[in-house]
Amino acid sequence: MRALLSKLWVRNVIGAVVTLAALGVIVATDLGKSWAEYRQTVVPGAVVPAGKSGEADGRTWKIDSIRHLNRNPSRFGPPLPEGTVLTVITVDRSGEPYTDVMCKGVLIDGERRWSSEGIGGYSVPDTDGVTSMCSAPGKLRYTFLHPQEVVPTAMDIVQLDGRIIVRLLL
Amino acid sequence: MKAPGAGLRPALAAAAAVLTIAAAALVWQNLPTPTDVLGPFDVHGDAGEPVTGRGVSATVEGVRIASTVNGVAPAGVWVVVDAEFEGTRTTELTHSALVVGPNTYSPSEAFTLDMLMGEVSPGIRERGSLVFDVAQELVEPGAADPMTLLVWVGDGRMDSRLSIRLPSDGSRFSMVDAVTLEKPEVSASS
Repeated sequence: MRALLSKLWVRNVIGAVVTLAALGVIVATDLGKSWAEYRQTVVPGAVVPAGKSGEADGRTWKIDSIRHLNRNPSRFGPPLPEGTVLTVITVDRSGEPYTDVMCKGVLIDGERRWSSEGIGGYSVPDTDGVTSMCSAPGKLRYTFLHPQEVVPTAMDIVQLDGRIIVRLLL
Repeated sequence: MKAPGAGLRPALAAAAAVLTIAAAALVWQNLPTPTDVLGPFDVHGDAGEPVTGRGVSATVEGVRIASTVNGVAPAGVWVVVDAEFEGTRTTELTHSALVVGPNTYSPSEAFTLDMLMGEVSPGIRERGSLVFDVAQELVEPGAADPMTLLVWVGDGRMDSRLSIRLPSDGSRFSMVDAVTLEKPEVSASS
């Protein structure tokens, strides 16, 4: 054994193995976690086909309705910008509301992404049983302002840290 | 009997070690700062032409130097940059700053509701003005310091940032007594 260890190439191999093992631990513990967090902002937790329901994050998600508006839903709000329309999507969500998660909707046309309107924008106001907050019970409703020639293909429900909870195909 | 040159090996090894340590020290003393490592990548352009980065496209239409904006007097002088912003791929929150010589100015908070601020989205164009309160001597006629508008989205780290040279003369530049801001105009871009 001592004779084997005295050979330079054997010691080099041992050094290389130890180095690779250390790098592996760093990747698995630190970089791996960061990579996984990044991937969650790119790859949805689940993709729900149009007209179907799907499971994600322990909840069931399904598109309830899609409406298109060509005027501001608020009676006293400003008119929509020229050449734009609103798409209003309501999502039927079963399961417990989130307790510590804030989220928003993101409309997708295959290449581009539009975030849902916030308070003070063109959003349809919350009503009984319909909300834009993940932490509130009831259906979720998001309003999107986009150019009228856009043909949306999907909507993501996204946490504020960027994690895509679910992608609902339209 | 020793091989020829055998006595040189320890000396060569010591010299190699000294060189390696000196090189390491040199690298250590010249490591990039966090600003260098995480800083934005500038996309340069001129007023009058669209300048496009990863998250936002901007076109500066003109620059006005004014004594008052909406009746408000500045500490120095107002620099009003008329511009058009448009999102490229996703809805993003824009930020801007004006660099004049050694100084960097944030947009004035006096006209928040009338300025070109907030989110931009793909396919939706916003036209409006940004207003900066700038030291008067930096923008007096004949001042040598160039003006540059910086526009970026998010926190700007490791992302593109628009760096647009602003005119100090010509048809896109004017000096006026007063400017009345108009609300930003929003419309679909196509």
